[in-house]
Amino acid sequence: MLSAVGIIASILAMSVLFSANSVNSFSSLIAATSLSKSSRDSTATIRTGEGATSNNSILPAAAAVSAMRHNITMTAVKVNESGELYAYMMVSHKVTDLNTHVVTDITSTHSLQPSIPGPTIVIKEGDEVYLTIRNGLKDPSLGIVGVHVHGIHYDILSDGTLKVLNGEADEGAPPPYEVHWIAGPGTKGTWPYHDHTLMGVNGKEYRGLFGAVIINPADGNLQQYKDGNVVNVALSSITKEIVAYARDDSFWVQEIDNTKTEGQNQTPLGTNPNLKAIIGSNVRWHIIPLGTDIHDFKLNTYTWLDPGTTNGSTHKKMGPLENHVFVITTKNNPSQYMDGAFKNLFLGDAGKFDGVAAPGPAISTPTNAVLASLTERI
Amino acid sequence: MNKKNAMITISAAVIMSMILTASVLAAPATALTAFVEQVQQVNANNVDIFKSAFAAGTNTHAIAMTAEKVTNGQVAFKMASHVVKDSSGNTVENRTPNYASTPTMPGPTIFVRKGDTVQVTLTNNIPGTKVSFNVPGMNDGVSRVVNTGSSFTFVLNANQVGTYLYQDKKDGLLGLFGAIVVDPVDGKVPAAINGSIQDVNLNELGKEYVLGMIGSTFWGMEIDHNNANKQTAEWINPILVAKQDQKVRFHVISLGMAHTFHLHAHRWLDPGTTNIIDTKLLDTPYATHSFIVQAGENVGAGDWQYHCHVFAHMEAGMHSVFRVLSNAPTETRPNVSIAGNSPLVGHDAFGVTNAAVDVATFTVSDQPGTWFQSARGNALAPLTVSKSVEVILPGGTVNFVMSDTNTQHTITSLIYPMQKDVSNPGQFIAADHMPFDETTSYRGGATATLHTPGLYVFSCKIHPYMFASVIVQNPNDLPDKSPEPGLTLGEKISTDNNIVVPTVSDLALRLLRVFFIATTPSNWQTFSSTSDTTWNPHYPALPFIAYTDGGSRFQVADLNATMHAYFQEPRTLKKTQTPATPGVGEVWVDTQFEMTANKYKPGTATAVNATTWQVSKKVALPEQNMNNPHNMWTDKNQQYIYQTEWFDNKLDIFNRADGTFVSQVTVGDSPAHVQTRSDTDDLHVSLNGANGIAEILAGTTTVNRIIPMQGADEDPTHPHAHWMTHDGKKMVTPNAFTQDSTVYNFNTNHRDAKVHTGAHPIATGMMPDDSKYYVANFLDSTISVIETATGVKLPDISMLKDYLPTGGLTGLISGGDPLPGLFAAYPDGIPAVIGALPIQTPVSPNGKAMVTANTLTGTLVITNTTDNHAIKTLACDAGCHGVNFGAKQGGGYYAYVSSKFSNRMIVVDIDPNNDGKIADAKVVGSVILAASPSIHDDTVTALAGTGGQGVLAIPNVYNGWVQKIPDNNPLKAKLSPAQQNPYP
Repeated sequence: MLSAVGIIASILAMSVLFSANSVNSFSSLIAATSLSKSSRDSTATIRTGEGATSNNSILPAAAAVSAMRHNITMTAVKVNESGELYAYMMVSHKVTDLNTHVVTDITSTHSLQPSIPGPTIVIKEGDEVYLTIRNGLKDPSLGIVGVHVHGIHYDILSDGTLKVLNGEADEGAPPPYEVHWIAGPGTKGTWPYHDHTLMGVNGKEYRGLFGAVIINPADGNLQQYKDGNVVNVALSSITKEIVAYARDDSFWVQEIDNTKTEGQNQTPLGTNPNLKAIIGSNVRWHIIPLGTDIHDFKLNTYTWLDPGTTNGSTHKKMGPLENHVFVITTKNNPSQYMDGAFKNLFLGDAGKFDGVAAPGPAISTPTNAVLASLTERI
Repeated sequence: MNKKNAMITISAAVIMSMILTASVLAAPATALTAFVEQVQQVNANNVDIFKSAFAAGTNTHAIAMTAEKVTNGQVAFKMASHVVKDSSGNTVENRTPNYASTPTMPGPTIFVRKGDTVQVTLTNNIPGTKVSFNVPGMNDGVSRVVNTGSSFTFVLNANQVGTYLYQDKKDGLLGLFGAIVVDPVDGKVPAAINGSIQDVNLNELGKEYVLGMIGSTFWGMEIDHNNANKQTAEWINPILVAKQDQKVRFHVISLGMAHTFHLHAHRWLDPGTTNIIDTKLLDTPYATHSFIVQAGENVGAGDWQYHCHVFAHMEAGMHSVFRVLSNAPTETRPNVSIAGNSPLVGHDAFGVTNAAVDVATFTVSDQPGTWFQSARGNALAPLTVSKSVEVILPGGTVNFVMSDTNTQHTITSLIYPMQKDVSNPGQFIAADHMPFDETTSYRGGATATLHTPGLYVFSCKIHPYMFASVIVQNPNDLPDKSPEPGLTLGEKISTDNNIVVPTVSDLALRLLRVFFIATTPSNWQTFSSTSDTTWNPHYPALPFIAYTDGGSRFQVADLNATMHAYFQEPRTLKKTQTPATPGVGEVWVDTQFEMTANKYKPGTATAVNATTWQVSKKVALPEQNMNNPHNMWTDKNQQYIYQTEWFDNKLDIFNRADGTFVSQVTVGDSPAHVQTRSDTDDLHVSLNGANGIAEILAGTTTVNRIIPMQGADEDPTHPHAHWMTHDGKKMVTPNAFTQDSTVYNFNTNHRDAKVHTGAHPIATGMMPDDSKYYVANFLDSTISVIETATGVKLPDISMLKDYLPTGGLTGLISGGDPLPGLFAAYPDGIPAVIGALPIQTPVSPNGKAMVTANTLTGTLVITNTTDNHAIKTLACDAGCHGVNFGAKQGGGYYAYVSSKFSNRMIVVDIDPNNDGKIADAKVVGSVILAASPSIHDDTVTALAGTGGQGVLAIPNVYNGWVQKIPDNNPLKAKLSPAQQNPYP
C-alpha cells in the first residue's frame, strides 16, 4: 500500500508529466494507486478500503467527488436445455463510499434473473470494482467461466483468461474467482465484459456471456451533437441508458431507467425490442457488436456525435467488441434502430424507438419469448 | 572501361534526373545497382532514423526492393538498399543495414517523414508472375506491373502523416505486403499516455511492431530502436516482447478481410480523434491502424493476449501474446520478441529438397479441385499428384488464407490422427488442438500448430469437398531413422464425427482415394458415347507408414501401386448408352466445374433434351462471371431458371428457352439450393454461408427478407438443401452446422420444430403428401426420417448397413486376396446397402422411392418409402452428388443423377416394368454432358461436362408444383394424367 507521502509525490510527478490536455488531478491520483499483485494474496472480498479512504482525504475541494468501491458477485448459468445459451446473473452488488464509509446495497437495481446482456455495471472514473464470478453451470466438462473486461485497469490476475494464455492462472470459476478493476485515467466510456475461458481459450462470449461496464466521467460532463454543434450535456440529464449488443443475428438489449430512485432500474429486453423514451429526454446509447459479423448501426432520423470527433453521425460501421456511445434527445417522431449490414438488415435486426409524450410512462417492450425462456429455464 | 566506373563519376544531379527518368521508364537493373554502390561509398555509416540531425521532410528515399518466392511457396518483399538523400541530392544516410537480409512478411518497413519522396525500384525475382507495388492512399490507380526479371521505379509522395499499406494487388495475401510509415516532420505523434492525450516524440519509442492481419493469421515484425533500428521478421503469431513502461508503437495493417484488433489491458488513442479505444475495426479491403502504448501502463507486467475479436477468427487461431517484462531484477528474460514459425525454413527428406516446411500455406479459391492449394502445390504435384497436400514436422504450422474466393468458408478438421493417451495406457485421444473448427463461416483463413504425427484433412463445412491434406511427419519414419521409412499416416485416424479407424482399413483407403480424386482434376472420369475409355487415377508413388487394427506398423511401399491393386484401377469406363425410353421435356444439370473462355470463375448450366438425349443448351453467363452454379429451380410457367452461385452471394435468373440473362440478385453468402412455394411462386434460397433462407417474392428481383432457421438463442444453422411441402405452407431445412433440421411454417411465420439429426445434415427429400421428410446426414451416412406435422423422429435409415469400415487390406498384407472388401469394385444392383457420404435424397413424385446419391462410394441407394427400408445399391460415378426426378414418356419417373468428378448424367428408372413396385429400379442409360451444344454464350475450355451437382427436370413434376403449371403450357400436355396429378 502506498503511503500518503508517496501518493503526494506521485501526484506531483504526474502534474509535471501531464500537459494542458491532462485529465483532472483526481484521475492522476487513481493512477498512483497502482495495482499490486500482493493484494491478490488476500482471500477476503474487501481488501483495499483504507488506502482509498486516505486518498480521498487529500482530494482538492474542486474535485469533490466520492470514489466508490463496488463489491459485486455474479454467477453464470445455462439458460436453455439444448445447452447453447448461457447468461450472467447478478447475485450481489454493494457500493461503499470511500469518503463516508457508507455501504449501499444496490443489488435490487439489477434484474435478478439471468440476463443477456448481463448486468450492466455502472461506475465512474475513480471507482474500483471487486467482482467475484461464480459458476452456476453445474457442468464441470465445460471448464471454467470467467469475466474478461475491456478498457479498465486490472493486473494480469484479473485478465479473466486461461493460464495457457496469461502464463499465470486459470482465471475463472469454480471455485469463485475475484477480479479487481480500477477505473483509472483513460478508462471513461462504455466497455464490454465477456467470458474468455469457458470451453477453451476463446470462451463462450457469443453464447450470451457478455455485458457492459459504463464508466461515467468524474466531472459529470458528456457531449452531444445538436444542430451541427458539439455541446455539453450533463450526465445527470440522461434519463435512460440503452445497452444494445449487436450479435450476428439480432440485437440483445437492456435498458436502465435513471429516473427510478428505488428498486430495479435495469430491464433486460431480449432481442430486437421496441424501445420508448419521453420526448425531449436525453437517452444514451451504448452499442457493442459481438460475434463474427461487421455491422452498420443506424438510428433513423437521428444524427449523433461520433465520439472523439466534432462530426455528426447517422450510421456507424463497427466490428466485434468495438464500442459506440452517444447521447440523443428523444424526438417527437417514430424512429427505428437497425443493423444496415446486408444479412442483418434482411434478418430484421431492428426495433422501434418511439418518443412518448411526457409524463409517459415510456416503457419499452421486452421480447417476451426470449425473456420467458431465460426465466423458466433456470 | 566498364559501366560501373562510368557511373561512379556522375554527379548527384545526374543521379536525381536519372531516378526521375526511371520513374517513367523501367529502370535498367544495371544502372540501379551502380547507383546503389555509389551511395554506399558516400556514406557507409548507419544513422539512427530518429536521432539523425539532417532535415526531414524534403528528403528522397532511394529504395531498391525485390519480390521473392520463399521456401514454402509464399512470396515476399526483400530490401536490397535504402539510402536517404537531402534536397541537394547529398546522401545523408544509408539505412540498408537496418533491414533483414531475407524476404520478410510483412515486407521491409519504410519510415519516412511528411514531405519526403519515396522512390521504390522493385525488381521481380518471382518466376512466372507479375508483381505490382500498390500503396492505397499514395499511388491509387497505378496499375503498372513488373514482369519476372524486370525492374520498375514507383515514385510516391509522402504528403500525409500515417501508416500506409503497400502490397502487390494479386498476391498481397500470399505475403507481398508491408508498411510505409509517414511521420510528421517534427517527430511528434499524439498518443494517450496515462489517460492523457499528448504528443510523444518518436525518439522516445523503444520499439515498433508491424502486425499484418492476413486471413486469420498475424504476421509480425519488430523494429528495435535500441538496437540500431534493426528490423526482425517475427513471422506467424509471434510473442511480442517489451519492457514495462517502454513506449512502443504498433502498426496494424490488414488486407482482404475485415478484422478487429484487440490488445488486452491496454488502451490507446484512435488516430484522428480524441477517443480512447482498445479494439479497432480494420475494414475490408485494406486498412491500417497505428498507435502508441506504454507497455503495461497501469496494468503491469504479464502475457497480454492480442487477437482479432472477430469470433470465427479467434476460433481459427488468430491470436498471440504481448509480453510485458517487469522491470524487477528477477526478470531476466531478454527484451526480444519471440518469432513464430518461418515460411523460409524447409527440411530435406526422402531425397527431396524441402520435403517438409515449417509453415505449410494453403490458398483458398473457387477453382475446381484446387480449392485448398498449397502455395508450392505446382512444385509438389509431380510427387504428390494432388496440389492440396503438404508435409510438416511436429511443431510446424498449417496456414490457410481465403485469397481467391467470393464467399465464406470454414477451415474444419475432417480427419485427424489419434494419439496414445499417456495417462491412460491403451487408450487413444485426439491429436493436440483437434478437432479444429469454427462455429460459423467467415472470410479469413486459419492457422494451427500441429504436434501429433499423422494425417490431417481439412475441409469446409459449407463446401465439404474442399480438401487439404497435411502430413505431420513422424521423425522416426524418416529414412535416417527407419529401414522402412515413409510418410506418416499415423496409427489411427478420426473423422469429424468421431469414427475412429486404423490407417490400414478400408475406410482409410477410401478416404485417401476420394481425396486424391476430388483434388486432382486429371483423376476425374471421362466417359465417351462412342467408345470405351480408361480411367487411371494417380496417387503418390511414395512410401507411407500405416498401422493395422492390432497396432502393427506397415509400410505401404508405393501408395499408387497399392491403391491400384486394391481398387482395381485403371478401369475401363464403358461407352455410354442413352435410355431406350425418352423422358419428357429437358433436364438441367449444373456442370459446376466446367471452365469457359470468357470468365474466371467456373461453371455452366447444361440442358439435356430428354427426347433426343442430346445436350441442347449451355449457359455460362460470362458477363456475370457466374461462379460455381450449384442448384436450380423454375417458376410455375417453367419460363425461368433460378440459378444459385454457391461460392458467391448471388442468384442468377435466366430464360430457360434460350439461356439469355434476366437478372442477378444478391441474396447472401453461399446460396446453395432454391425452391419456389407452389402456392405463391415466391422463391426461397438457402444461405449455406449464413443462418437462414432468403425470400424473393414472385415477380421481384430483390430479397424481401432472410428467414432465420434458428432462434436468437441458438447457433447459426447454415442450411443447405431445403424442401417445401407440396402446398407451399411449410419448409424443411438440413442445418449443416448444427446437426438438426428446422420445420418452418409460412402461415404462422414460426419455426414449428427443430429436430436433432445426424452429423452434417446436407439435403432433404419429402413425401408428396408431406407426411414425412428425409434428411441426408453427410458424415454419418444415415438418413433421418421426420414426421413433417409433428417433428417426431422415426428410426434412421443407414446407408452403410452392409459395410465394415475396418474391413479390408488384411489380405494385401499377407500377400493374399487384394480385394477382401465388400465393395472394392463399384457394385451395380447388388442387394447390399452401401452408400457413404450421402448428399441429395429426393422422393419420387408418386412417393414410391427415395434415391440417395452417395459421394464417397459413388453409389445410389434406393429406399422404399413405405417402410423406410433401403433395398438396393446402384452404381454411380466418382463424386455422385445430385438427384432429381423428371417424367418418363408415357408415365412413370426417371431419377436424373449427376456426379462431380465425371462428365455424364446417369438416368435411373425407378420402376422399369411399370408395375408400381420399385424392386426393379435400375440404371437405364446415361448422357455425356460434355457435348458441344448448339446454343451457348461462351466456349468451354477445360473440365468439359464435369462438376455435376444440381439437377432440375422440366417440367417440374413434383406434387404440388406440377398442378400449378398452366394448362395451356405445352409441356403439361406431354404428361400423362397420373403425372399431372401424381399423388391423388
